[in-house]
Amino acid sequence: MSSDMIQAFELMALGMGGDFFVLFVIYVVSKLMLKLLPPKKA
Amino acid sequence: MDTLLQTVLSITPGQIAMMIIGGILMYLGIKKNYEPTLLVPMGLGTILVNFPKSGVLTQVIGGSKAEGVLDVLFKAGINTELFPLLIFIGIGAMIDFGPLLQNPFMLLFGAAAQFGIFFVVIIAVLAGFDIKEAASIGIIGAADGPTSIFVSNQLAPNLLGAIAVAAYSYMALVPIIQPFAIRLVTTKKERQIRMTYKAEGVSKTVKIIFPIFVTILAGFIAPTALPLVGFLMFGNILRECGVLDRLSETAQNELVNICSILLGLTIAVKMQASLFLNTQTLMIIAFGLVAFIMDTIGGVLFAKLLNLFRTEKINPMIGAAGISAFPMSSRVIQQMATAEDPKNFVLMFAVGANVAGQIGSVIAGGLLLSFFS
Repeated sequence: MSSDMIQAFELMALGMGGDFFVLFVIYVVSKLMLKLLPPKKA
Repeated sequence: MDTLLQTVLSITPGQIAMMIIGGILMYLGIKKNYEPTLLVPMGLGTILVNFPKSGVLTQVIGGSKAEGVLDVLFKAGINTELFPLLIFIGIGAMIDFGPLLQNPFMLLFGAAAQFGIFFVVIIAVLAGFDIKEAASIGIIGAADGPTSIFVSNQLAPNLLGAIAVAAYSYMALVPIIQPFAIRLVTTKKERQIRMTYKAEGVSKTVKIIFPIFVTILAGFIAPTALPLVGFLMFGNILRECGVLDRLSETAQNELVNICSILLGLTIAVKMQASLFLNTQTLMIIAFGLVAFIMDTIGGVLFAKLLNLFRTEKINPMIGAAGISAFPMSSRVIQQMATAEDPKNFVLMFAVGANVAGQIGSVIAGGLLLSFFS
């Protein structure tokens, strides 16, 4: 397997893994913010 | 008369072909309404740069160098990444993260639907492109013009013209590409799944903190992507802070409009026959389509995977809305849902996933750049 192909698979792992990780962290923090900072009741 | 004759005689078949391509781009923009803000200026720009000794490009005349206006703009606005980044401020000001924050779970679809980017990187390497070129081709799957331009300009500027054409053309073709791809991997019964909408209330404070938090997180994870994420989120802060409405309006309208005009015209520098007409371009156009299809399939299959573990099923088409083409993708999903079941309303979920796709695609672009930095 060529070094470019190895890097392409590394990119797949890093890219999808990284994207899921970042968006999961944003998800958790969003849930937390929604809980801690609810809208004021009128 | 001599000049006229010289120009006519020195024009090459390639240049004529590029002028025809420029005309087709303008036709698609004007007549078919496919991304006209980019395709019309880009089409005319393509015609301008393909005249022999065109004055819009830098030429040596009588032994002295005369700077061409498009070359000057290219150096100032694209080599420096300025135009795509300024457009990002406007896009940020246009995005309402409300539907996403009401259902933050939709964020995960914004990641799943980036699958096409990385799938195409592998395919492009198999086809003989080097890894940086392959990554630039893959980023077409971000379904986001400015991100594609930003990334490919850094990794493979020689492919910038073809990548920009593919990115914007396929974004305009989302209503054709996505239904085809979704039907490949879903059954009618799955497309009819109804989802109960339970929106969480979102305070103004959360809407202001959200873009700041995303910027900080991106700064730690993919600092190379900070120009993209930072400018996008800056635009969003203008929108949400409540005290900069004038600036937000300007970013959404004048700023985006001016930069789109300049970006479209300037990208045409890469549409010269000598740079564009080759088999690589055809491959890039084909791989771009694969990227969009695989993005859609990745999002749908992720939703189907989640359904294996959930009691409240997700309509798998929502996963397809996780691409960045906003708001077109969410509209397509709602249209498909209504076509299968007139009483099925999934629009708000689809909008949430679609907005998540905007974050996901920028992060994906940043991760690509980080990989090579």
